[in-house]
Amino acid sequence: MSAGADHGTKPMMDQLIVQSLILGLLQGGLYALLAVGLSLVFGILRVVNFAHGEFAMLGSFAAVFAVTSFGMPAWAALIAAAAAGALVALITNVVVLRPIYLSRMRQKGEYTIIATFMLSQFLIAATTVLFGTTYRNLPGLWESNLNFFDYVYLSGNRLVAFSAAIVMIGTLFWIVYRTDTGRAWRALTQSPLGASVVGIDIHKYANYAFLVSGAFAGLAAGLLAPLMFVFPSSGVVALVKAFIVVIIGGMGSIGGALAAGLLLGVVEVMGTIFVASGYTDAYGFALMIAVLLLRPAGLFGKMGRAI
Amino acid sequence: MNGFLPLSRRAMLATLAGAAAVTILPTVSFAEDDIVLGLVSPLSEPGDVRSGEAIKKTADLWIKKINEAGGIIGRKVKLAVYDDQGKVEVGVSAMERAVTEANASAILGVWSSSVTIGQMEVAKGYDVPLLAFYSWSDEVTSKNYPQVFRIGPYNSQIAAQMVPFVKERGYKKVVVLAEDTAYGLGFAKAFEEAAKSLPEVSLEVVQFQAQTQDLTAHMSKIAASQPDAVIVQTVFAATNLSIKQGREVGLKAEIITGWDWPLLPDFWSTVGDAGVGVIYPTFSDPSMTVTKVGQDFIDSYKAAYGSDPAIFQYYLWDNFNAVKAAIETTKSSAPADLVKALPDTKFEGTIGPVFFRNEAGTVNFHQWDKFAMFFKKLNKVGDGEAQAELVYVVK
Amino acid sequence: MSVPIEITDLRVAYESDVEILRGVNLCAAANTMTAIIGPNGAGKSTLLKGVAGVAPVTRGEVKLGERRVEGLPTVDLVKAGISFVPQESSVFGQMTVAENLRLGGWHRRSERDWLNQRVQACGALFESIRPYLERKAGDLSGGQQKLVEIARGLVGEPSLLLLDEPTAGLSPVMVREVYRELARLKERRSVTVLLVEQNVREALEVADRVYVLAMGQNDTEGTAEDVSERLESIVRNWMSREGSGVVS
Repeated sequence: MSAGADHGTKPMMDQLIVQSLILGLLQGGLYALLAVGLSLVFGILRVVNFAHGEFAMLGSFAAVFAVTSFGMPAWAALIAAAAAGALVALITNVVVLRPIYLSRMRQKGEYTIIATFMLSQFLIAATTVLFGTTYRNLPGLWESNLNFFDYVYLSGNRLVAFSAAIVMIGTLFWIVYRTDTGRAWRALTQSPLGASVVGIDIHKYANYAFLVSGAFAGLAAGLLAPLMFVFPSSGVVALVKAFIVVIIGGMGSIGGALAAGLLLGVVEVMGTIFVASGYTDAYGFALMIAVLLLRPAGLFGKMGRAI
Repeated sequence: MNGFLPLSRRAMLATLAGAAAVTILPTVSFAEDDIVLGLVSPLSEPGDVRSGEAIKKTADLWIKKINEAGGIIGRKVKLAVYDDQGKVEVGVSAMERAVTEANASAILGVWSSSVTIGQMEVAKGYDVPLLAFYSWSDEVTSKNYPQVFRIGPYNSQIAAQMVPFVKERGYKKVVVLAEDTAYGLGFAKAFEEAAKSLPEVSLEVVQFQAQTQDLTAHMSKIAASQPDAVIVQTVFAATNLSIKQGREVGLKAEIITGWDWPLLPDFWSTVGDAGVGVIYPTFSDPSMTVTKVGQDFIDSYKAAYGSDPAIFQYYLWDNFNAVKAAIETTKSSAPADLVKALPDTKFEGTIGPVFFRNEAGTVNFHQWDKFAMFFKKLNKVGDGEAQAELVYVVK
Repeated sequence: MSVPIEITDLRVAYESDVEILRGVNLCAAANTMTAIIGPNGAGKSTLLKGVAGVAPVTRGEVKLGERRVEGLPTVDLVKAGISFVPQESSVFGQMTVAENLRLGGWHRRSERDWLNQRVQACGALFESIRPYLERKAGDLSGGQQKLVEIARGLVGEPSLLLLDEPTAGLSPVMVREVYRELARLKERRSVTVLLVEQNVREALEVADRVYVLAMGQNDTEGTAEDVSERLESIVRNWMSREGSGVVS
């Protein structure tokens, strides 16, 4: 770098720190949105849903087809994504999971893991057969690359996605802490027995939880799609990120998922830029392992049962 | 139990693959006198089926034309087709069956480098020629197996051909964005080595995990260092991601893709405007010299399938002709005779005369390398091969 | 408000051929407290669970007032006025005591004014939890948590309250605390209570009537005074029948 250059090394470094911090937070918001549904369902039903990533993937496909086959606008595509995610999640609960937790078998938890894992594989294979492995693109709501004072560079779609994620997580908070549905969910999370004796209909609220979980996954994927691509196995990485967030944030905690999502995003981006670029996914795992060793119940362990 | 499990699974896979091959592929009866060539290619998922189908079409066409012309040394030629599913263990067992059951004189059509490298051991064990054409790993020929030949490019040569291009464009600062696989890192290493001849160019390698779905962090880092050019060495999806997200985070450098991925049909629909200005290297260009043999291949291919063959299919055509030339020289279809004759075989290929370099101890062993590399630029959304601007040729 | 309960030949079986409850009859007048005692495995808890819809009823009748309720799902039993306080802890630990109580009126949650008034009333019911309505239920002592559950069970104005060993696992101090409050509850005469208890002495002190079960069937019954007097012979009878009587 010559002495006369516009950017010295120092300001360039500052720029990169600010850029990476912002990128990390924006990315993290979407991780959190992917994870809250997983966390909700786990908290309420103790079901570890391995098909959560595929709810997201199917949501993004629904959004793509809404735009390409039905000519819907971008905002309607997001609604289609949420609706598709919710529908698939509801069907999963009723058809795949309910028979398991209604049965008298032991180790229901293990069976739900196997069942949802198989479902995940099936959905990936079915999508591949039906739609092929072609990469697809989804137009976003704000298709332009923004440049803030030559200092921070972002796409409009990324800002839209983050804002929507925060609004949605805020909405979920409101549902959980201010509505009867939220009270029922919290009751089920904290004591399924207590919930049953006060007359809370577990099937109804489990369905609601799956609907919301699937809608959030589909919406998250619909928001992510303009930033990345849509293809059948896209849910696998999404699930891994969501799991890391749930484990770091504490199983069943929404606030924990938000904080952990933001943390994961920042750690991944910062690690990639300032430590070594070849280990992006490894930073998340390292963070997760550190949390498991130091605070096994997650960073927000105390709130862990609060969903 | 644990120690025995992986083995049994492997065996099971091989058996399944074998069973699938038996049931799916029509049983061919081979007359005593027929010459049999083995075609082992990715014909089902997770293999690269798109390429596998192109390989099969080329091979079928060649066999048809040869037999119409009276065969080789008066004998009919037949193809024994096997599916490698893009998996090493399946490819290896398929090749073994081609040799032992179908008595193939030579094996052609091999695709993925990792599968080819596995199959090389079978070639060595049975002393049967194995001809590669688009398995880019240097290892295929640098191992110097007497039975293995390649008519087609390899990593370090492609990297070396990038160097005069970088010099010609006047880039001073170049970043190689490489996926962490043998392909990506192999290229990065070879390019670093080759670029030593350009001391005025500063070079940085940024590595990323091949399965990633987000490259914004990597691209931000690269953008901040303000390079003149970024060479992206990865497969189709990540290439597109790097282009789209690079522009998103303010990358102003020229982007050179590792291969001609931008010609795939979903390129423009996934990257959009960000694809404008992208430069890609290729071995194929309308300005390329095509021989009479080549023109005949192109015409017959068009007549048979209604589309132009891709460049790698030219090399495969040459592979078949190499085997034909060797059989004609030795008047024998015995694999061991062909292994002896092939290194000195010369014939008219599709884009020029074909002969093998036989420099023992180097990658240029049983290797033909006389092809030009073209650098082409996409100047507007939707540009394809015909519209792309030819910016540089390395001969 | 309260309705008498009449149980006739109630049978419960988890597996089709193993009956835990083999035909039990029980009758309780409105607003009385009935204790159900018996040795381990007599089917006391199973009887409550059968009535509460938690255990599978295979035969028999449960009449709440004039209404047959056996076999209804728990959600409907709660609406019918049956409130079950299980032996295991069932408080919502991360919620305040007041929030716990509010959930006790879940089936009538749309009647806000009524619910607010009930939460207030039931929060004031037991002295030992009255000062702690805004504390998290999980932070209270085991005895206080049990009282929260009982109070929660009363918020919905049930006609029948089923208490399954409310003092199991509690220290003697807490046992006394819970029984002091149960005695007060009985004085109010506002709900019919079926109380299953291992602490026979405490149960007899608060109960109006007592049913003794053994081996999944009725053994004997009577007023609390009557059973207290016969207690020794009753227990001896258990011992002789089972070889190992258990009374704590």
